[in-house]
Amino acid sequence: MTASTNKHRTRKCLVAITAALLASAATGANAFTLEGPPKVAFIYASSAQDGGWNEALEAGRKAVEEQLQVPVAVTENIPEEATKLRAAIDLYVKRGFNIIVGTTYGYSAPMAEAAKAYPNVAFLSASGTNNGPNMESFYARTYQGWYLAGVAAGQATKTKKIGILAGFPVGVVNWDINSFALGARSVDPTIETVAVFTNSWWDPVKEGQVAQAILDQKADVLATNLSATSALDAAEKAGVPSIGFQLDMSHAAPKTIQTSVVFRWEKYLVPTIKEIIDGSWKPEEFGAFEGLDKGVVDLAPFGPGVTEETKAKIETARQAIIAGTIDPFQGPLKKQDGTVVVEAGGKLDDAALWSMDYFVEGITGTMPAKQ
Amino acid sequence: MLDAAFLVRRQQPGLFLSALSYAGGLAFGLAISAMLLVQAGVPASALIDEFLVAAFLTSDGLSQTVTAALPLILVGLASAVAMRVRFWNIGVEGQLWLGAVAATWVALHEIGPESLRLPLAFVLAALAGSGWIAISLVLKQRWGVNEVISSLLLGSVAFLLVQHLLFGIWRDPANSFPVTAAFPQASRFSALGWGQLHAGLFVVALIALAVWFLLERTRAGFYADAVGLNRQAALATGLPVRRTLAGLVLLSGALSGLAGMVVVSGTEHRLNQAVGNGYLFSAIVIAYLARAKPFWVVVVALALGAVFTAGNVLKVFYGISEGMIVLVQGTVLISILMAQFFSTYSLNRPS
Amino acid sequence: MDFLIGWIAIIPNYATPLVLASLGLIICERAGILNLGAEGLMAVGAMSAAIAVLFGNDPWAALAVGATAAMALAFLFGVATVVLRADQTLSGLAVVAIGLGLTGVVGRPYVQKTFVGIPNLGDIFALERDTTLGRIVAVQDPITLALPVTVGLLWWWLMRSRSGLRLRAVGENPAAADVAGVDVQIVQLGAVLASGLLCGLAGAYLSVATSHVWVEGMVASRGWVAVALVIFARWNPARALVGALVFGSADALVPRLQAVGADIPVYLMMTLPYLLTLLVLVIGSISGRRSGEPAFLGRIYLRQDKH
Repeated sequence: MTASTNKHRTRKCLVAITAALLASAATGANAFTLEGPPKVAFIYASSAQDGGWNEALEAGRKAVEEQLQVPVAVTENIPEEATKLRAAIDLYVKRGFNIIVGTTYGYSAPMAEAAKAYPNVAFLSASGTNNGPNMESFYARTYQGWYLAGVAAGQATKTKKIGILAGFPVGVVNWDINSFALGARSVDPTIETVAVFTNSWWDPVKEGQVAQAILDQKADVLATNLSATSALDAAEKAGVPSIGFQLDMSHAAPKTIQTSVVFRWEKYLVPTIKEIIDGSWKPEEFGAFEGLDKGVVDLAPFGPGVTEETKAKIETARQAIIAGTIDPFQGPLKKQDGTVVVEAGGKLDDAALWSMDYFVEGITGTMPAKQ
Repeated sequence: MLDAAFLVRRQQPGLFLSALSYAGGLAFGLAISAMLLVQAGVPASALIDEFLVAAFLTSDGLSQTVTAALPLILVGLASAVAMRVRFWNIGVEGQLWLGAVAATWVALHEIGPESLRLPLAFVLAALAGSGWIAISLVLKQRWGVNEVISSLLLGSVAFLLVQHLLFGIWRDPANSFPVTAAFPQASRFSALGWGQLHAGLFVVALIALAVWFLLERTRAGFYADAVGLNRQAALATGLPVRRTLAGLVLLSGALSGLAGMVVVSGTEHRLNQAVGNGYLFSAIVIAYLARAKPFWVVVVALALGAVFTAGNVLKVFYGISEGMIVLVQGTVLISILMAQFFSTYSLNRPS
Repeated sequence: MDFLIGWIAIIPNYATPLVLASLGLIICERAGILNLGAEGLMAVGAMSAAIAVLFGNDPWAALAVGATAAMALAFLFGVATVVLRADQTLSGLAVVAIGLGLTGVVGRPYVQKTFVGIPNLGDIFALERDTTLGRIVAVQDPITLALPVTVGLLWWWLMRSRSGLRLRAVGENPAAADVAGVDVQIVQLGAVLASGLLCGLAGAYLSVATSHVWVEGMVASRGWVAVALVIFARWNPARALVGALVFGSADALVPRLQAVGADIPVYLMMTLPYLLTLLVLVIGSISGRRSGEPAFLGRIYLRQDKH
């Protein structure tokens, strides 16, 4: 096993992906047509009422049910295993369900196989990585929201040190952390961001303990990229401003919370499912990937400690991002170790965002495993 | 307490009595579970429908049941083989992870000619699994370290090694998700065209047959039973106790490793963080309920596969949560365990 | 230095639930009943205590609720293993399944509801957090503070008191204990309930004292670590405390190294507590110590076996 065989494999793999994408783009020229009356099914990997990621999608599901007046079924706790997910999809399709929404990246590959087997069923894959003539992956440009959160944190910090805890070092998490740090540095380029992975999506005990580890580094703003509220609880106790994620977490830190970066999935799900029903849906070639402009990612109402000046700065940044005059990942952009990622004048493309496996300059933290 | 005075171990519990207490415990556990499920909103009529009809009598259901049972048979055999020599293999999941890693390595790095990929993965997965349990074996035989703790701890270590690989060299380069690239065709068991069932079926069937032959028809099986029954007596009669123990424990690890290979090469076609979860509980339950007999391991594994299939149906159409399904499994298990009392002991006054 | 202080201060928080659960298991196993159910018992304790607080109870009362609820599940385990002599390994696994399943079903409406839990010493006494001592003391809570005393008392009771001796006798040689007039089953049942109480308390500590919130699966394998710590501690309460501190300090180190940007392979680092535990077991064995395993652990005693 050498690095070169690995690189070779990677290149081959990329070629294969590109070929597949081209093929799908060719066949995807026609709009997708649904057979039979629309019946929607959401499949979750854990409980839909998890207070975080799933619950944000669940809010979107409820909006679909209310606004489109279609039957929407829910299944929870289907593990990210091909056998179990496929069985659930088969059951739904057999009973006439023809719009399937899967809610984790771990579903994406088995969903893509099911999409081939059922060309008349529409598949939507949250944080998925596969697309096709009847399948679209969707995610939000959460990094745009995190940039705004970074501005808030940069305004609030006095020690010039802020902290963020996150789950695992995957692309969609890494860009949140990096963008948060860049947002803060847009206020003051000397700000240092401490980033720690808990290496679990789901461990409030550890999240509280990791929060303490970050506070011990003299960080005076604490953000969580996870679903549990225990980190915010720790911040509230320490009297440190905090930032939540996925849902409005102000209930956990009513005094100190600044805002939460939240999903508004209904802004994607309602129009998309409406298109599917109307017969005008054409899946995006590289998946749907909307941001602040469509409101799929947004900030929750500000907490009591946020100044008018900060609010104004955030609003300015928001408008600039929507207008395209600022991109969080515009050049010059350097990695933690100083190597240049983007020269001045350029910016990262979407493929580079998804594959992000590094911290940017200004972050103190450890990538858990090296490529 | 009072009953201690009267409780006597039955010398030879009759087959009828054993079967009766077993069936009674099963029925009691199922009755409680049915009540729980009905309470949770599943119509009573649907229960029979889903369990019998959906899991066994429809083509889709049966293929799902059999597909789910394949790795279960292997981990069940792994646990049974170790149980035969009274070695508690609590590290089934760890060995399964290592086996999956070995198979993934062969697949992703395209080791050897294409036609030999699956056989190579087979051998390496078995070696990886037995290599992992060999640590527990050596620790036990050399230093007397309890195998429950060592195999349990090594299970956690194995999962962390997988994390290291999935977030390191094997992460999906396109999006950094902890999922490897899909296996090339040469590293997949070919589909049999019936649901998700794959050619791993034949491999598992052959393994089950071989394990059955080994345990029930060879001298090694006889040694194993002697060692399991009474290690001291077996030593005294000059049986190769250490060799038998070592052989079967290594076989147990190999079988777990192969289960990992069957999962990644058969149905997942990639390695991710979810493939090995939950197999420990299944393995031990299967082996115990099957009394460590290979034939019954296959039967019980199929039954458990059916429970998974039916559980999926309950989740999909009746909103039953994972918690409820785990609760039902625990309830049925403890009910069967408690019912053994009636065939194992009798309430006689000591003469 | 700063790094060291922060690290040392947080270790008790990692160790406390492990110690509480291990103490429960030690009592149970000293009486000869192998208990693998800690994960399930802790889950029940964590959820019940959280629900109690959410229903407006005092956090301290909630700890008692968590302990009691876990005792109820332990009672089922006791009926199975002590009264009906069911297989202990499997009954323990069944307890794990029932505990995890039950909490998933019952706790569903209470997920992610933040509540006010047990305050730490810094809040209770409004301590200055500027001095080294202040920083270390402020983040402790009354439970961790009481822990060394609890361990000491339990050690004394188990190893030095008459009733402790009786309990150990049941686990070592139930026939002899029986002859001496000890009611073997009552002692074992009591030991099983004690394990429920302490594991429940450990679980309640996680939700009510540490994270102030409950989510499904929040015990996150800490029960299994406790199972391992018992063997590591050679069934001795004092050594369980040491073991939990060693394990906790290794566990607490990893995020703190990340926070200062240390260049380490994190997942490999996370294997250290497990490997360390194994190493200590091997060293203990090489240096010729006996494992301390109660002779009758996991076996089934019948009065007919007396002769």
